[in-house]
Amino acid sequence: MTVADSLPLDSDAAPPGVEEQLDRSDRAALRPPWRQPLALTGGLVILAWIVIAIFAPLLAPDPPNSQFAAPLLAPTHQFVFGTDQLGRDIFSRVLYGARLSLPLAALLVAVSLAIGSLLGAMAGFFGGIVDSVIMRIADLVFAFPGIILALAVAAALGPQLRNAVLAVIVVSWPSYARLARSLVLGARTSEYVTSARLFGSSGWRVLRVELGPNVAGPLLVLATLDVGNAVLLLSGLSFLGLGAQPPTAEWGAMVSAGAQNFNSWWVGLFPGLAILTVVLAFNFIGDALRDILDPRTARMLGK
Amino acid sequence: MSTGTLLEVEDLSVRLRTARGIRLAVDHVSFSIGQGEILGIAGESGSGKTITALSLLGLLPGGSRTTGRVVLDGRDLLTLHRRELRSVRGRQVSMVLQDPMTSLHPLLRIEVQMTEHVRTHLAMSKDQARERALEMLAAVRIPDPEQALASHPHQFSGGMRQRIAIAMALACEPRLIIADEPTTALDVTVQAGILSLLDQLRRERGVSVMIITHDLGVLSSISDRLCVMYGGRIVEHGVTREVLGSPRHPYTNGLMQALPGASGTGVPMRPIGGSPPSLDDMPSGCSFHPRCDYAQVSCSSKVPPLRPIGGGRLLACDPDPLAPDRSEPSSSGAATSVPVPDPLAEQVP
Amino acid sequence: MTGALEQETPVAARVPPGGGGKGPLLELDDIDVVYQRRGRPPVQAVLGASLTLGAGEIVGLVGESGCGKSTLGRAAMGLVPLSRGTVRYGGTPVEPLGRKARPQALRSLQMVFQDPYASLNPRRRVGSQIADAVALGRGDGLKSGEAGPAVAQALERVGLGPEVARRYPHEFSGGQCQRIAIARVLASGPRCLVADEPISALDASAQAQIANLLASVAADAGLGLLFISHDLSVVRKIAERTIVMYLGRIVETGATDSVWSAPSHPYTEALIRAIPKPGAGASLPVELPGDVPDPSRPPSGCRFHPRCPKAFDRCPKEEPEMYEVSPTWRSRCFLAEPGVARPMTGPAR
Repeated sequence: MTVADSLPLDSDAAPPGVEEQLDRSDRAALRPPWRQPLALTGGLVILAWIVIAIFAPLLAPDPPNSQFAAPLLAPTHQFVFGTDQLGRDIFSRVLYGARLSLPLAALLVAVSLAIGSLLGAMAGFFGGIVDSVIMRIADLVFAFPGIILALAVAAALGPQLRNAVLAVIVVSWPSYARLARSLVLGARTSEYVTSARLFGSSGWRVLRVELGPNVAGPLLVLATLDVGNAVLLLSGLSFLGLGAQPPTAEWGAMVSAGAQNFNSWWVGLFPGLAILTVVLAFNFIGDALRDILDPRTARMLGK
Repeated sequence: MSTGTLLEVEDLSVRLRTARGIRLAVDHVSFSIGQGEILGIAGESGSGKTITALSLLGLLPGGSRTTGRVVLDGRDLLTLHRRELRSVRGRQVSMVLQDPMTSLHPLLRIEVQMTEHVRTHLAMSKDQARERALEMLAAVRIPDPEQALASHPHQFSGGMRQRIAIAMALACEPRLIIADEPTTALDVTVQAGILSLLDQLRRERGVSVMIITHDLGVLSSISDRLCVMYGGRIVEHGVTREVLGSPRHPYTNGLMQALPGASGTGVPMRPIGGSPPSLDDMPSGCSFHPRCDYAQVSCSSKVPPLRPIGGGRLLACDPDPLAPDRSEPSSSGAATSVPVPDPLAEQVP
Repeated sequence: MTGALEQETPVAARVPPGGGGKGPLLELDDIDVVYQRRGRPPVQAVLGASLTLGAGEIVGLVGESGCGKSTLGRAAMGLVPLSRGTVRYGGTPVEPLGRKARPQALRSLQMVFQDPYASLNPRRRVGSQIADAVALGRGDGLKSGEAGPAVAQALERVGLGPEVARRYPHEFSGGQCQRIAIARVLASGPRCLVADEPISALDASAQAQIANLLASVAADAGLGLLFISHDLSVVRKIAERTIVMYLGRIVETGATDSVWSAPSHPYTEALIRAIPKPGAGASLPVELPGDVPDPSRPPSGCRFHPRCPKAFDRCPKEEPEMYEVSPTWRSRCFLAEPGVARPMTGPAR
């Protein structure tokens, strides 16, 4: 910072390609998707869940809320996952649960991504008072443990799935805001932004055209990783009775029922496994995306 | 100047694994460095010059394969065990890099960094090591060595840091210093100091230096002999004065013509067209042929061998368009050299 | 001191259409740039600098790192706030960039940066970046999407084919990338360019290519070009006038030929002597001892006196002004003061 032009005079010497090319993570990212077993597994699992969510009425042997079997039957040929305390087929209910959890989680992440990155980008780009106000609010939200704040929101607005979604959005936008702000702050002083300004781009245009594509990648990675979190949070709230209300087939609520029928392991296990697979799968995909979108590795992929 | 050979490199080849397969980055390179000699390696990015240096000390990243022989004092470094190699690296050969901050730890005082290094390799006591560090800092002309030991790297300017990095490289009294673009990040005024320092070290301590740079001006002022590398191969090799005085390879000649000092004020420089090739699309035959003004049909199919052209010079160019007249002896020295204007020569204060 | 020395260069006489009459294109009048630092003394990066640049004129600005040459360039672009003085471009005051778009009157004052990879957006295609420059430079409502022919034309001017437009910056070598950056700047229809170390990040052969390219596009289009570089030998090849800076001060300014062949300031002389001479029989470049002092605590009197081989008792006591050596040549050294004998320079042939 002392004198602006004490720049390193030359960065020519190192052969640019070679060292980079040998970096291990680069090589991993360069492998086609079928060579990345985790990403592939994640993708397949998510794909399977999406298919299930769409075709649940066709795939499920019974409607989710029909109670025609005996309660708490262990898994058999007829009821592969067993039945719950009200005699409902758990297999069908797990399938139907996907129709609730997946779209809601996606919606929730999309909304927090939009709110968070817009606010964060504004804070980073305009700085000053805009930055202070937005980021202090974000800090405020961050200071509360997420689930407690969501609990408070859900409690205040009443225990409903819609309110649970709102509650999760309230707690999850600040992480996007923070990331977007730091990315924009870093890129704002870069020379390509300076030169765009010199050509006559307005501030908004720079934000949209120049910074947008550079900021989008990492945000997308965070969002992908966050879908799993959102599923977990929503299920958690339902588990606590603040989200989906009976008799809705929702994974968190089903796990909660499992906790109350502790001797019948199958009641909680199968919806729990559903949550586990979805969360894991999104994490795998997010990790792979991060490798692909890393500017250093993207440099290699671009060719 | 040189008494006996210190390092002998024979048929060194390096294969690197890149994103798109295995590539030959260094192709059968041979050279030697005598004691107290300064050998220059010239080349642009992608010429393989840095890879050559790193491969000598087994510093290449994983997935690369080095073949050939690198004989230092009768021992082939390529056959050494990793631990033995590490002791060679600290003790007999040291490296100076372009950015001194990569070899200096930003958070440790200079004293800690220098003495640690000496104590591991030379089994010295703390006081002896400190003594040695002071001596080395004085040798590289750091104004106040005592104070320098107590300072952190960021408290020095770029030139001073490079001096300290050289002092560290010297501390174990290595026989060979490999300097990879040691002055590229520095101002010309500072560069001049580092160059004369290297020259002085070689004269007073008999250290051999292998200096790698793209700047022929630097090489012509301090190196005794030089190798010009292009596309992983040595294309011209010989005594610096002769090679740069009357370049025989079109690439060497092109580099010389492109130098701003090669002609007078206002006369435009004559750059070589095109860009150096990357490892992934190395031209066939002589890898310089697409940029060569003298290229013939055969150049694109046949790799020209590095052959002696008299006077200890080696050349890898079959058409040899820049050969002096047949009637003249081939080692004509500086006969055809471009006179270098030295505007300050005439004015005596 | 803005007056006489900058006016009558032969090239400035043939002002091209749109050259804005007889006045200079870019005019810096006695500017100071001071960086305020929290808890530490402020740094005077540029002090009392004046310069003018006419249409079709190439001026070189040289000095060591930390001398304020880049700051001066950025001040000329309105990228750093001035503490004193004014910058005018074609009669319009150059305002610092704020939140609003840069006024149309200033958009033909453009900049070429040191690192071409940093100055191009890594995630946008080359073509769309150039198209933006075309649209914004015209400011007549042309959409970026309609700029295709102009993009191809701009690429052609720097020796690249239209297919380049579809690719991303990282697919090119440093030299090609700098060509693209120059094409983009040309596409915006500039009349004046500030090039801040445009070649120092490039490979040996690309350096000469880019320097020649900049000089020739400036000459063809009658642009004013301020070429900032630490490499005096390149500046000598392309600039008609050279300005030398040391520690925030302009210390010498004059026709490149005269400055190079008979520098009147000891610092300029040291810079020239430090350049390694390529070719046969080269000797070690001459070192300028010492480092550039901390700009927040500049030496008293002449800022160069602690390193100056010719300093005498007057130098630490008072700061020299810019003395006239000849009508187009000035030097900030007591030895150049009229009426004082000048022992160090012979007649400038």
